[in-house]
Amino acid sequence: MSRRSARFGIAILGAWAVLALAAPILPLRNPSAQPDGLVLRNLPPMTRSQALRLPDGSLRYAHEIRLEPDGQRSIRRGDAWIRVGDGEVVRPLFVLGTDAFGRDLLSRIVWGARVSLAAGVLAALLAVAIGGAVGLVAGLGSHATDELLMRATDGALAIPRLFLLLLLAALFRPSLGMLVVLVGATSWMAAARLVRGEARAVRERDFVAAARAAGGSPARIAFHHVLPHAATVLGVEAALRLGQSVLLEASLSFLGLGVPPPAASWGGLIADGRDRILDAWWIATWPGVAIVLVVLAASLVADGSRDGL
Amino acid sequence: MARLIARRLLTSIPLVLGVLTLTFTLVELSPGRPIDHFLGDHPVPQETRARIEAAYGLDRPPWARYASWMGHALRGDLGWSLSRSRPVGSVLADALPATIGLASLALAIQLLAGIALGALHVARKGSALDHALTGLGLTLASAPAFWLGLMAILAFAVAVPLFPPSSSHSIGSATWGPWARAADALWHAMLPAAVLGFGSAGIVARFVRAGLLRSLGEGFVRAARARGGSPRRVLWLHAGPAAAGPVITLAGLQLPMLVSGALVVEVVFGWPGMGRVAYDAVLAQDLPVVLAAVLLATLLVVAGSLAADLGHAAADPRVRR
Repeated sequence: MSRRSARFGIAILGAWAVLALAAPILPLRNPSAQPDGLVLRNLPPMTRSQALRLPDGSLRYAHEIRLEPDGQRSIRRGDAWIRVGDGEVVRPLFVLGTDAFGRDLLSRIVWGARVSLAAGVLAALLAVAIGGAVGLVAGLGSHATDELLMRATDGALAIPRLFLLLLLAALFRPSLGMLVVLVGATSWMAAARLVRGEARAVRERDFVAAARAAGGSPARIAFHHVLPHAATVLGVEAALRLGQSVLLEASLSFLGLGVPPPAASWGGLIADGRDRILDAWWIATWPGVAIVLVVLAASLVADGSRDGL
Repeated sequence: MARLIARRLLTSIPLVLGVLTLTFTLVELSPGRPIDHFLGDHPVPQETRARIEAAYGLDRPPWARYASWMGHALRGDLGWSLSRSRPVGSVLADALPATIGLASLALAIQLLAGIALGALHVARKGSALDHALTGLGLTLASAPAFWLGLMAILAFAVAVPLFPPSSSHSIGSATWGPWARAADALWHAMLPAAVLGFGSAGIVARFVRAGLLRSLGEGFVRAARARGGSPRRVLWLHAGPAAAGPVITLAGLQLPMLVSGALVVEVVFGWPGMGRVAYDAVLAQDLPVVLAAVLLATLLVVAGSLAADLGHAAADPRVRR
């Protein structure tokens, strides 16, 4: 069960990574273009809109298209009929629907994956790096250092993270880089405890003593002899942290304290849909599904590799 | 018991000092002078700024401001909320009960659902129902709380209008009797609390499962079985309480997440708790309120985990000292 679900998780994460990386070359509409805020506003999923493809290739979206007696075409937008001229009638499909500005949700979610996943991966790496360093110092250092660092870790764990992040986001103007730093800097505690435990477990073992006797510097012993033992637990923690960081970033973006527009992350997309939840449920629903898929996949990978240890 | 409480209270003192120091340092490190945070974007002439800085002591060196911030905070004076024109303490005191109520209800839902799910897993291992519920628990735990909240509003307040979509009381409820008011508040709290509680029930279920499986192999459980106890009696009377300890501890460890989750859920449901107050304060650039909310949320977690430790000691005689 666990091995299969871990593979399933890797497949989902891999698919998202490919989608995010390939977004510029995929046949998607421009995620921030608003081709027609009137006609394309709040289209439900799987809607085919109507449009007239003009000879220059551009699309004129319409509520209704009429063939005039002289062979020319007129389009209706709202109540107004406009005579456009010659063109081919096409019916573009909006698979996931559109938002209140007529933007295509499918392409906004795929492009949003770039922001959300980049923030999640980088924040997870930062958290594991900080936590690993704290854990190594605590695990290999003197008793007093260990006590001090672990009490600080316990204290940091007790502060509700979102309240602290709210304060940080209010103090430091959020950008993608700042967001990664903030999320990473508030998520290192679990990694610190895990690495500290591993370091404590191996610090008196013979191969570490041998390395010490051979004149290895503390840094060399920490990185070459102790850290490899913590690699697997750190890997599991990184996978878990990836999911949690995506969640945290989404929460901050939802609260309007995340990545500034127009580069919307998934949390920002849900925030867009929040006010229209009653008349256009799909705007807030799809980005949430994307988040669930990624977080679920990350915990399946973490569970599976933990069981495999 | 008394020693446990005393020790926990003593160890929480450095934590409170640490949080106060941390938040002060963060404000100092952030760009701009302290007065900028307190004035927000209001256009204030230079001489007025200088007067305010002098009046509030913002022109003093950092260490002096740190000392006075610590001194005031430790005496319970958390400053003045500019956006609400009230002492910060009273703003948060009004919001605290709402958050405690919401979080307690969520905790109850989380524990009940988690224990039911975990026990089901042990009793009917590998059944289709077990797989389905475990998958559901994992999925709910993977969803952002604010999104679950929106989906819950869509499903249970719009499509099937069972619960109110937002706010904490019905219009006109102020004139009702106390029981009607309490029922009304509970009715309004159900949806946000369910979102918070079911969101993490899957994690509790996992611990219940592991704890039950472990304690079923223990000597005192085998002894109870050998004395002729029925499987049900052994599970609920012997193995269950022993497995409850770690679950209570876990619930304590989950408290920071619960309080964080409460923040976004309060924003989504318009629930007048601390998270909502902190969020409004961020939007209004009312820094003293945000600082105090961080402190109070931490204290809430400390108090909650103390309660969890006491609960653990009550459930499992082996940890009483």
